[in-house]
Amino acid sequence: MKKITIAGLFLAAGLVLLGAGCVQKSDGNVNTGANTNAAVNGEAGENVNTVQPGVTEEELNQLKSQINGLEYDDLNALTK
Amino acid sequence: MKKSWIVIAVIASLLFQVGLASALTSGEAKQTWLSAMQTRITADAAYKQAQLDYAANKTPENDKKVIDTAKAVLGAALDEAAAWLKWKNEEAKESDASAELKVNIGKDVEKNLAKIDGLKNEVVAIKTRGEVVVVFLKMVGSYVELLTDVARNTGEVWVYMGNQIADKTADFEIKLRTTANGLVDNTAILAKLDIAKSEIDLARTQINAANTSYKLVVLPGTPLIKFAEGNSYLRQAKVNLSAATGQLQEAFNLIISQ
Repeated sequence: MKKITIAGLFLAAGLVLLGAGCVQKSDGNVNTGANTNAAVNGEAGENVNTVQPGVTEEELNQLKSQINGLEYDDLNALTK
Repeated sequence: MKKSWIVIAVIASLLFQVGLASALTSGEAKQTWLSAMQTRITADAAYKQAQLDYAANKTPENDKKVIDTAKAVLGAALDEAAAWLKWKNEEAKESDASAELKVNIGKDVEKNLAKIDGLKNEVVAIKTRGEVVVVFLKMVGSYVELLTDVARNTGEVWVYMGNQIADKTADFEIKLRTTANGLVDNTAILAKLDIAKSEIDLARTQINAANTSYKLVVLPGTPLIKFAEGNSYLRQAKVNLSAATGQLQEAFNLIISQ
């Protein structure tokens, strides 16, 4: 009896997970009805005329701060 | 049985806390190095003053002062070297450098920290002005040895990181160029991207030159001069990469304004 209950629970959990997966997948396919150009640009529902540069401003800023953070200290001070 | 689990849990928790306490970030390790450097500079000034006092008045007190301050400055110099080694170790650990390089740096640091402990014992044992001179001369030779291997490997880590950033900058330039090529009014954008590309190429040349210099951080030779030379090339590469990202930003602004 116990074994059957446990198996039942596993089956139920499996079905729930399967259901969640299906819902998630179907989300990706939902057509929001946004303008076609927006879809091409990969940004549903946003400003239609904006060109997507291929790089985000955040990525550019991260790169800049990475470069600013580079430091190269000499060892001269140690031997003075 | 239950008690033994509790004991194990307490021990594990203590070990975890000790681990956390001893974990040092490279930023903290750098601060330790900077304050060790400051201590050495202060100790050096005290030693020089003691020498002046002794030259003016050769009393046994002034003689002792010279010995004591000399011991202090030698000890501080060793502390500074140890702090630098520990910082470089942490910096390497936090970097994306290869596991092999990290292990090599870790081993070199351990080996040289042990050497520093040995030298510290010699400093503590100094009793006369003559011994100060002997230990000082010995330290001058050992000092560069202590730092050479780690400096060379640190250079290798920096070159690796520099190349990664140059690759990323080049990747952004290509992406922006691809977008710009699809635009009707792209002359100004492409001009900026051309400048960015040329700055990236210059940065790569500097990084390669730094790599060549770091490979010459060896003994016999002038390792610390070669290390500084490599650093100088990387500083120039940094300037080039900054200029490149400036151009990328301007190109980006022009693209999104269309």
